[in-house]
Amino acid sequence: MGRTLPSITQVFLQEQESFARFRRALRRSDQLALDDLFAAAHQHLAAAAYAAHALPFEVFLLAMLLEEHKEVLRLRRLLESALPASDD
Amino acid sequence: MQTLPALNPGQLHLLLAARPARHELVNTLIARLAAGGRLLVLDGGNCFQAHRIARLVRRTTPDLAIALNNIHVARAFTCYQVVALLADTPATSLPTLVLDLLTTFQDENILLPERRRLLEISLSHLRRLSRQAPTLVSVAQDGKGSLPGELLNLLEERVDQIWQFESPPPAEPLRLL
Repeated sequence: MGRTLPSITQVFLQEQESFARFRRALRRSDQLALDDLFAAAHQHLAAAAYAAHALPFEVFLLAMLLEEHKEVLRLRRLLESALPASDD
Repeated sequence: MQTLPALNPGQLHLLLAARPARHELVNTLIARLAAGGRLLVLDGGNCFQAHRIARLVRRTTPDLAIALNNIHVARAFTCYQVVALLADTPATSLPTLVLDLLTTFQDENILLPERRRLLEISLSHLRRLSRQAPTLVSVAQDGKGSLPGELLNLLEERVDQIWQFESPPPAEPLRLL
């Protein structure tokens, strides 16, 4: 007996491959930003596997959003510590 | 893929196509049927592409979970299991799709007369199922498999309708002059 579903890593690579033409059409700086997004999603493959969602790409998108939000929170904290506290 | 004809009730259909087109046709058909009600998928080639089907279903209906719950999948990994699976399937009014029926019949460890006998039994069960509900059997037409033509001929003789999809020939390279 073999697998009845591809592994989450295989699914991830297939999804990434399906955007190869899109990536190719982007300018170099945007290609690197897109690669960062996929790298961010790649960090959460274990969670995506555990989610066992019928549409895995939605989970990958959420993982990208999660990493983006973590970055926003980090920058916000950095900004708040750098700026003097205001009363208003 | 929108040109796929409807399954006629009471008839046994055979879908012959090469691999990528066959999977796409079957997935489209499963998604279409799942959006409308329950169906039975008997997978003889471990080729049920759940993620791809989920994506196609999402395009046809917003009720993804309900539509996916309409699909009942059972798998067989040997030709003996195919026979057992078909024998254990009661004849209902649910549309039945048998994916890659002959894949497990390529097993050369089983003598050809024995495989023919098993296919005969499978076909009798398929006929029984098709009396109650539309039934479709998909078979690989890749040309390089080790499937004996005798088995495919036997199958072709027993079905009511054959849908054969041919891949377009590769385009000739463009020439400047």
